[in-house]
Amino acid sequence: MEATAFVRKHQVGLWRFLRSAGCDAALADELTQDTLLIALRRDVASREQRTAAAFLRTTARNLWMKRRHSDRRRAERLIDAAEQLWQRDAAPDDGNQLLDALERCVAELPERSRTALERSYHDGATRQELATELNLTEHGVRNMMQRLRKALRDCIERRI
Amino acid sequence: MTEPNQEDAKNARIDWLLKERVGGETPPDLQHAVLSQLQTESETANPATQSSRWLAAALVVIGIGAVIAVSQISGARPSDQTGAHQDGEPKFIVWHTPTIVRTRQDIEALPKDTKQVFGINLSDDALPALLRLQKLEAIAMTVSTFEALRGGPLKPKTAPIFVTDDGIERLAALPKLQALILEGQLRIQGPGLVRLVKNTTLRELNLVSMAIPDKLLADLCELPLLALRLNGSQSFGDAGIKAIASSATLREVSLRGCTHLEDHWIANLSGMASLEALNLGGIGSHTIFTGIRLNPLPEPAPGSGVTDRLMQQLAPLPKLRRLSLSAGSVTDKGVQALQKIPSLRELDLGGVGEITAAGIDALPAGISSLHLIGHQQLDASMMQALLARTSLRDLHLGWCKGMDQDAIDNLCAATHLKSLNVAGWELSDADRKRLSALTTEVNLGKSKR
Repeated sequence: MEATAFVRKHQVGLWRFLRSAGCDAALADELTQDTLLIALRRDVASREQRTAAAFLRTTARNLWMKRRHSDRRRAERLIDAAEQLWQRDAAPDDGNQLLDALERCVAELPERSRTALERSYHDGATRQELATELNLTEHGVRNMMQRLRKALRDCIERRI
Repeated sequence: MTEPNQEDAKNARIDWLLKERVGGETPPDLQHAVLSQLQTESETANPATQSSRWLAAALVVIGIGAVIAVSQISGARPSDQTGAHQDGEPKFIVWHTPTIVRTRQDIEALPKDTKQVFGINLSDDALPALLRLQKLEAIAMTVSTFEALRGGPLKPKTAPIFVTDDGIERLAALPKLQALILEGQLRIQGPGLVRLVKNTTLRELNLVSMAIPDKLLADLCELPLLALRLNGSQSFGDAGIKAIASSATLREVSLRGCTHLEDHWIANLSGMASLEALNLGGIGSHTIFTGIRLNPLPEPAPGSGVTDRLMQQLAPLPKLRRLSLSAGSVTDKGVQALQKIPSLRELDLGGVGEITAAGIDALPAGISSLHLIGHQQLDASMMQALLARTSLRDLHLGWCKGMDQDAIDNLCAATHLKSLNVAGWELSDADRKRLSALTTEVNLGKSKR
């Protein structure tokens, strides 16, 4: 596979894999780029697709480990678990089915919950702002968001 | 049993999914960055030079800009679709959990006796498939923000998909259609919608987060609609409101979350002899709806919102039974105007913080259902005023603040209540027990102590 097609083929899945392992977006950008460069230098692009994808995830994992030297063991456990989940649920379509499942789950939530999610994840509202808008304490907002995340997790599990 | 590390991974995963689908975060397009780097770098094994990181950072900035742009054109936010009557006449549709459909294939897979459908990003091409469902009573068609955000720079963005007048007019072949919700459907200009209402049994129309010209309202209001809910919509003005006021059939009107409201509009509506329910919630300075703009409609002038001055215009409405002023800027002085509406039975003052015991005393005597959700000063005098109203049957006091033990003690003696909601209160076990004994319909929320 030529380099352009290789990058186009793998960049989304690789970036999402890192994000699903708790890597923040900016670092995921950087590590995805670094990983793809390493792979191209080693001619991984000529390998079979599944082998190439496995190589990319392993390389991304190792690069991330280097960045997490202060809590390396925890990060290692987390990314290993993320790898299992990724292979089980997301590898064939780079997580698109998961995103679709989430969307359906969010659509079924009550208005108040969707508003809370949108204000938090889309608008970046702080817990304090949400508390004021939803007439809750900050603790209440934290509990609400925890419950919502748990409910969405369960909902997604049922749908995939 | 799930391993703790897998729990952590699932939590990280749901955060990623939410940030990408709800937050609009998109994977970067690194093609140019990677290939440029590959061309220019030396043979060194170090894969990430400083310049490539700057390039990556630039791409992140570009990506964020793209996300913001997409969010601005992406259409409607999910909005309130409540309002279906559950009692009294007429009987409006009660939405259960309808099946979500996104494509023609989804619709074709539905059982023939399907009664409610919730369509996300349906196109005109998918709508003929609905005609197979001859028992269909209610259809919602929304343009999804999340769908429009899909894609990002890595593949062509999914542009918001709209239905048009031509498409929805075909639904006139559904013999049992009663309710239609159109949300964020900015291609609907009017003629097809008007013909649909004219040629079917459709009586409930929700036009949510839409641009609604006065002409469309004028045409619609000549037809026998029973409920017209314009939640979060705009573009209509004096002429549109006058058209609504002239309707001889409308029993319910909602302007909930509309960003523009003028005092004299309410004066016009006050002429509606058959109006039973009016929703003016979510309008004004207190609302969390005003100010959140995810749709591409132009920003309207704010109007006056729900204020004491507007309340003076609110009469007479001889049949009005339900009124929502939630999140309005209304004080005791404003609610005094409600005495001119003795027919009022259900009142929503949720998030209206300036109401005191004097305001409660001034409410019409016949009110049996009162929402004061989120009131910040529910002290003993306020509680005393509430409980002195022996006509009250349903009392919603969830997430209120300022209650002392006297207020709770007073509430525990309110044996005339049929339902009570005190979710979000910090109650002792003894108080929870006493309140539970009041009636079978008590919502105490979760225990906090």
